[in-house]
Amino acid sequence: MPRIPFRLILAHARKNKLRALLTVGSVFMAVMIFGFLRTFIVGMETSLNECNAARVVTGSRLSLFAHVPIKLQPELKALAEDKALGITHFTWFGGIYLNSDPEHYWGRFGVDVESFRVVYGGDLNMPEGQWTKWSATRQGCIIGADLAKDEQLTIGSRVRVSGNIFPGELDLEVLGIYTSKVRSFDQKTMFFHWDYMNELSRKEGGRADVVSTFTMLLKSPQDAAPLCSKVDAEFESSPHRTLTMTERMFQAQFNAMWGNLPLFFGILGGVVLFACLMVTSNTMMLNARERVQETGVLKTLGFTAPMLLCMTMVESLLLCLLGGGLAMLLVQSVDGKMLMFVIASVPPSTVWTGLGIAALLGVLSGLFPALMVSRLQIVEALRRRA
Amino acid sequence: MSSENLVHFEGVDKIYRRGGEELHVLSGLNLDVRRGEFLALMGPSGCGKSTILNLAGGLDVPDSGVVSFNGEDIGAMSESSRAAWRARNVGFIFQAYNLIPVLTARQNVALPLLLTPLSSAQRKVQAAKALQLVGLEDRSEHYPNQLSGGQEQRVAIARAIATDPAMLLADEPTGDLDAASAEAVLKLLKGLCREMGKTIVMVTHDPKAAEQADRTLKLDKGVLVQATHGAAH
Ligand SMILES: Nc1ncnc2c1ncn2[C@@H]1O[C@H](COP(=O)(O)OP(=O)(O)OP(=O)(O)O)[C@@H](O)[C@H]1O
Ligand SMILES: [Mg+2]
Repeated sequence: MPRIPFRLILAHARKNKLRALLTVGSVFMAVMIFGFLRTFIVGMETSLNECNAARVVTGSRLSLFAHVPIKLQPELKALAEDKALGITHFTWFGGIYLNSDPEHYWGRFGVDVESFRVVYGGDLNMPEGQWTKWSATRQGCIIGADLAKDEQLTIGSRVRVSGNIFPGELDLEVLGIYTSKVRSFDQKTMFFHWDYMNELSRKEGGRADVVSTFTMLLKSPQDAAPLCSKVDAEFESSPHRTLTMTERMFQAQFNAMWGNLPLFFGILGGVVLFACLMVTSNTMMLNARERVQETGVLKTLGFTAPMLLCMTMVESLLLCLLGGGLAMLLVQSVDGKMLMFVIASVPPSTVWTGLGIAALLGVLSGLFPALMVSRLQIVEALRRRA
Repeated sequence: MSSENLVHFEGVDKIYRRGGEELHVLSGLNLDVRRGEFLALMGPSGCGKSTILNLAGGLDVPDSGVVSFNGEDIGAMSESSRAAWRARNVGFIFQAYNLIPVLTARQNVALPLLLTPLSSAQRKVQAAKALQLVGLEDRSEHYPNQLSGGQEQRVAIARAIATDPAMLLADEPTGDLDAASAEAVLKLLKGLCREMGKTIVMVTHDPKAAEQADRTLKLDKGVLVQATHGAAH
């Protein structure tokens, strides 16, 4: 293996900092656009796949913010016959914690502990002791690990939330901290007893005996679609028209909202990559042209055509991989975070594809200059003045 | 060919073709360079002096005839083995120095050592030695544009001798230098010939420079017209 003068490659980059920087920058931008786009698309897909197709959610047909009466629960249960393993309900409390800054506006739901555990227990990790204590304590609540960190709450902390949808002030004690087993289960949420908020609201003259949604966990996802239609048909002519779908259908509907945007961005990304290829090609061509005499000198010293070809390719690859590598580092840093209402997902395949694109840019833009450099006749090269 | 000859030209033709026109620069040239001698080549501009150096150093090959080094036909080698042969046996010194501007003096000198099996530490030592030999050890971290012309040419000489080749080929090495720097460079070349046994072929327009050589060949239109023996024996 012949030794390639790496120092010379670096020295050139140092001498022409701006050019090297612009080249690295253009690859960085192009690969970053690709990376985020793919992260978003993969995120939508994994969110969809992680969504439980065996969980059926029933809410008001009017809007996401409208309520349905709790008294529908036994009727739903009856409609599900023996196909459901359990039924539970969620009620969005809203309210204000500390102040109205957006960082304190996280999800807080009133739930029924026993059935909540039946339907959602599999999605989260929490010690048995904490479940028991929460179940037995009317003013107890549990919070996600991220929420505990962000609000600096721990077991035993008191949390006061003043209501706006439901009047009254919740006065809660943190009795459990959970972590999620699936990414679709948010770690920045608080759950407390629905009974407690319901009584409080009733006492303050607010609405009572209503919930936001019911969730049924079915034994088999195959039963989901017929059950959804059955439920909605049942309440079609009642005062409480319902909208029922699986969590998965809900996510799919949400994904569909983006429509052809990913395709549009994909085309845009391709155009950007092409523009980037022109920038990198131009850089490498300029480099090769400026170094005709130097190439002659190197060949005079005994560097062979393959070595010079290698050198040019290495230089091109280094510049492109540096840009691509930095871009993928940035892209990877959002893994697991919420990105435009989708959980960003950066699997290794995205990283490898990003680096592959960078390498391809390097090869394509280095090829012609490398061939030119390697084919240069020594005597011709030396005669040309830089 | 006798073994006292290092380089041997026999019936060498060199023709340049440009757009259908043929330019016969060398026709049937015979020439010997003796082992360990300091040979000067003189002649009017365009007569083919650089062409001869290029052929002797394997930068180019003749159209017909043979150029041999130590009895080996350079023209018969493959491109890559000629490159390897050049790295081992020939050091080039140019009129325009041809240092690589983005590398320091030491890095320039160390460059041809990359083609040897030496380790990085050994290469450093060897480059330092070569710079010391030309009296520029204190300029090793300077870039070419921080050096005078004379210093640049001495760095170029250090680069040419770094791999310890048997032959040095210098194409008007003092052409761009003032008198004092030229003298220093010539003294250096002469010393390399005398003390280290290098065979040197130097092209020059300057009769004073040629005086330093053991032998001077005069060329006209690709034909040797005159040989003189220097007084410097
Ligand atoms: N690559 C080439 N293509 C065409 N013609 C060339 C080429 N190289 C040299 N020549 C021509 O060949 C002739 C000899 O060139 P060469 O460089 O050997 O001359 P020289 O004796 O070194 O001249 P000078 O003293 O000016 O350097 C010149 O007429 C030159 O124009
Ligand atoms: Mg010449």
